[in-house]
Amino acid sequence: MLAHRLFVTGGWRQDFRQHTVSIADFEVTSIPSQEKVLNVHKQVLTDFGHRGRVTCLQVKQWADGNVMVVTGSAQGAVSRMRFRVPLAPGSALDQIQMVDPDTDTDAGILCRWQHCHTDTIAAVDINAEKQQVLTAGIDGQLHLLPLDWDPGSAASTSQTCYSDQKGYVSYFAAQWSSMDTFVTASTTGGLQVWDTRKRSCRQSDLKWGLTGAPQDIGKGTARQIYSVATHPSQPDKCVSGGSNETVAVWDLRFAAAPVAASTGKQNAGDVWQVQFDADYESGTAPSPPILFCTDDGNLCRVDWAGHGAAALNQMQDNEQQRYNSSSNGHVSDLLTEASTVHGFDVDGTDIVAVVEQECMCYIKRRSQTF
Amino acid sequence: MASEGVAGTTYFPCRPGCQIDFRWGLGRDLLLAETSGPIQTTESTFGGAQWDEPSSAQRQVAYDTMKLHRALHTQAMSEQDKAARLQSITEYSQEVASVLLAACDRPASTDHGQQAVKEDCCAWELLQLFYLFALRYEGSVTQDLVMWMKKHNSLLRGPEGSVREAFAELCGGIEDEQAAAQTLPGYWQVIQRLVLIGWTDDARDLLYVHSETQSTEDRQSMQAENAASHLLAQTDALLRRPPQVQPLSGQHNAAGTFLPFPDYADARDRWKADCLRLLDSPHWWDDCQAMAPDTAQGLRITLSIMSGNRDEINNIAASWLELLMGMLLYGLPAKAGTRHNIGSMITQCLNQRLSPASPSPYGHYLTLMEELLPGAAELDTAKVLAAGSQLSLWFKAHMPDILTAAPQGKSALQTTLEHDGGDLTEKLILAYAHSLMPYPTTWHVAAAYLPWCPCHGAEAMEQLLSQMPLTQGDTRLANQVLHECQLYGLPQVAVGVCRQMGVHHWQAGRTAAAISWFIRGHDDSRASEAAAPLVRQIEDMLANTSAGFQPTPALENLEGLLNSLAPAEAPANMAEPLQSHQQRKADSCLQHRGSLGFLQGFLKLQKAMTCMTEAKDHRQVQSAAASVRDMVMVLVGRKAAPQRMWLHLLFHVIPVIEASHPPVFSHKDTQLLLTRLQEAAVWISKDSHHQHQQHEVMTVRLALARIVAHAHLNAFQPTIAAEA
Repeated sequence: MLAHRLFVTGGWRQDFRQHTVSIADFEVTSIPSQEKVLNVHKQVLTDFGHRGRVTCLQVKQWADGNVMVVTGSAQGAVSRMRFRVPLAPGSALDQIQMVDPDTDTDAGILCRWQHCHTDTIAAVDINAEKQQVLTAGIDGQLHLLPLDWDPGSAASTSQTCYSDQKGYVSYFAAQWSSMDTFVTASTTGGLQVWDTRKRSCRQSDLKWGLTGAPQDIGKGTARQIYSVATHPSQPDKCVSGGSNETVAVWDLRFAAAPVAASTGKQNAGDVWQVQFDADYESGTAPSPPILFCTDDGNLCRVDWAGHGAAALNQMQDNEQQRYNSSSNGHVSDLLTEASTVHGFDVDGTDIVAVVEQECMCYIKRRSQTF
Repeated sequence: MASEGVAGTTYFPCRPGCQIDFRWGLGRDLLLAETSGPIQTTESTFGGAQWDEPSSAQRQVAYDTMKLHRALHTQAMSEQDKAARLQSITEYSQEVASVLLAACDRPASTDHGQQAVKEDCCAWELLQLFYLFALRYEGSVTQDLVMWMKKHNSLLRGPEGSVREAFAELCGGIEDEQAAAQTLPGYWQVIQRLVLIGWTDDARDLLYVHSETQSTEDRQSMQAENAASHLLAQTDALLRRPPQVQPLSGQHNAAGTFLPFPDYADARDRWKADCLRLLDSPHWWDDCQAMAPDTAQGLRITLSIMSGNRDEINNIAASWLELLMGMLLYGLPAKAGTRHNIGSMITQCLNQRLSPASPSPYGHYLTLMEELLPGAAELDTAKVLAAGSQLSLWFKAHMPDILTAAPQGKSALQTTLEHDGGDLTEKLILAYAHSLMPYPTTWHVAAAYLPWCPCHGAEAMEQLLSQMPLTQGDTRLANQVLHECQLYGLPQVAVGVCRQMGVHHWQAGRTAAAISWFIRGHDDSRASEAAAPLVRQIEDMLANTSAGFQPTPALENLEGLLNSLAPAEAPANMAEPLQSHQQRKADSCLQHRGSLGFLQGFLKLQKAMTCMTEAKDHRQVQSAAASVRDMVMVLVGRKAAPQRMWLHLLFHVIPVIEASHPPVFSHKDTQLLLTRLQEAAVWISKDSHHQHQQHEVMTVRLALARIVAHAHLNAFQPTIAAEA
């Protein structure tokens, strides 16, 4: 079976000394009946130069095939790009249509949309229902940009500014959790939930520590949350990833301490991206399993389901899996590299990961859902 | 800059009247700045020069071999016997060779980088052959050399071009031309060269397109045969089954025709005798000569080569390397290809072709091989190192891994260099690491190699980590650097990184991030300085006594950071007298923390004051008042707050003092506060700007006096007080 997996990456090209955003494709040849991948061929479809380091990137596809890419830069500018993918099965790659986001013409470009932050943008997230883009920066500002925002209207950035903490907060991560609420992580510690209807903010109790993992309490400012991901269908569920391989699953009502948390061994890498794994068998576990990547080169999956002696014996046979005595989740490595795993994305059983060594990894897993 | 070994020189034009100033960057990186005056306060870097920049193919090799190198050296640290060590080096070298081959085949953005990897790959396989395979196994290296030359033919080209080019050109000619193939210029010469270097299958392909062979195919049924076609068929039959010795690298061919060395020697003699027998059949040759003189001549020379005619071999060989191959395959006895004899054979071939007086006319790489091949064959480490030094930095750094397999190599590489301290291996690895340092994609590879430099590695690591470009405030990069600092035990560098990040955020007005980094770097004084604007903000709020107590929202955002400071002493036990040494310790701790200590206390006070206003019943009021009292005792009693704020603080808590019943301030507390009030009053009286605050002093004094009165009442008439 031949399948195409389209993805967007942001990065640095050493040969041209340029920051870029690329749309690329994986052509995956596989035998589904044998669950075997025969060949994966990567092809870069288009490549755009990006002003400044790409610090965050968000892709959203609508049902009509329209795709929007929003990126944030280290200089505080938001850029966007639009293209249309053909929806008919068997369509060729050349049917992908680039669209100019401003004029709606076919001249596809990555254009600078708004320079709303004064420094690095830590996160961008598109709210498809409300047609809004949330941006959070280390300058302590949160912006809500309407998708039809016209940069040419010469309106000031203060119109889109939702909150400005004037440097007394630096945001590390932000994501929409429902149509009207979003969650952020910052130097304040823990998580904050913002409600755009009431313009209110709830803060997690700091007695649970800055990262939500009991092991991190009292470890000082070296322990922070760097990434958050909300559950696609359960608006009250959120997972955070932070220093020292710490991941925690939170109930955003903050009625109790994080549902589950896991932290790595001493001097383990930081978690800069985390996601809920949709591919699992629902059981007695308190939370769905999660996937995260670390700066010391691991792509891991944490399973919160209870595991007994039998599972532990099995693990001793397999070096790829390790059990962390300080955690209450079972951590298994999907990928181990010699250097940083910069990011990943998961779609069902397929995972694509970006590794520092200028390479991409494609992982096809055996499905666990029956 | 323009010295030998520098790939290119970049020119930076400078404006008239300006000077170029330079400083060293990381590794092989030079930063240039234009300065117009004698002293320039803000120096802007407008350019830089880097050399030995790794290309994409070289970077790929660097990434993939990093893990292998680390695994090999980690293994070497555990105790291993000689055989196991040799085995692990062999496995390592084979994995590295496959990485190099993969990088050669990958489409590359620049030809230059790909070429360097190809050169490394060719030299690597040669060292592997002599230092690993030939040392481990008895036998002949002939077949290994044939395969090696076939793989790297484009590099090993002589003055007449490579055999493969000539072959490809001829094949193109055959496809285009209508004339018979054998009439094309160079047809027989290419066949003879192919046979000479052992590419018999390609030679047979060319013989197959000879018009006589084609016509024999057509009229097979007629069984009629002329002399030319007979000789062609016979030659083809001989070329179909040339004796081939089992390669030492252990490779097999599809047909499985490789022979063990003793069998090979016999089979080779028999095969050469067959060639001679065919040459010695005048009947066929005369007929052929009459019919097709060119074919007769071409076949005769080919067969002469196959039968070991050294003159013909010498005539046909285009370079010394081809001569060597011809000699090993046909001209010399089979034992010439063994490890002990090959060195002298190579020297003979070189001497025969190259006169010492005239420099080598060949391409760069074959000239390099003139040193490397004999050096490797004789296991002469000095010669190999000299030749290898012309290759890439990657090759130089990894070459010692193979050379240490031979005892001679080990001793040469591990001799301490004079005036340097380290050995040669370290020097080469260090040079390689330096070449990777200045690039965002490869600095971590450099960091992975430096631990294998026992003498200068720590210093280089410190330099690398302390000079990382953190001016952009990239938190992720800073965390990675701190991670490395922790891994390699460089706490001073870690402190520097935290300070650099803190200052970056501080300059941009990001108080929270700045404080967070300063706390992380144990830099309390800078953290306090960074928090000073917030302290001023609080001071202004407190000074405005008419507006009442207004909470500062920005302070709440710092709660997480302030909590992460050293745990605060328990203020609940304030009623009990502190031991003098405990008191001193607590005071010094608070003072040491400066404004952060104040903010920590003030935040708690602010929370308690908010609770006080929101309290719904008497119990809540009392508990909030108790918290307010605890924090007032820390801030004013223990001087956590600056002296100028004491009066304002006391003034703002008067409503709390008044509201609580029974009073939360004990007699002792009040005495202490009165003392502090007196100190504050003295300070105010000295300054004419603060004269208007005298009435505040009076108000506070009155409130405190009331508490003292209550306390007295409680002490003497506890029952009455309780009833009241």
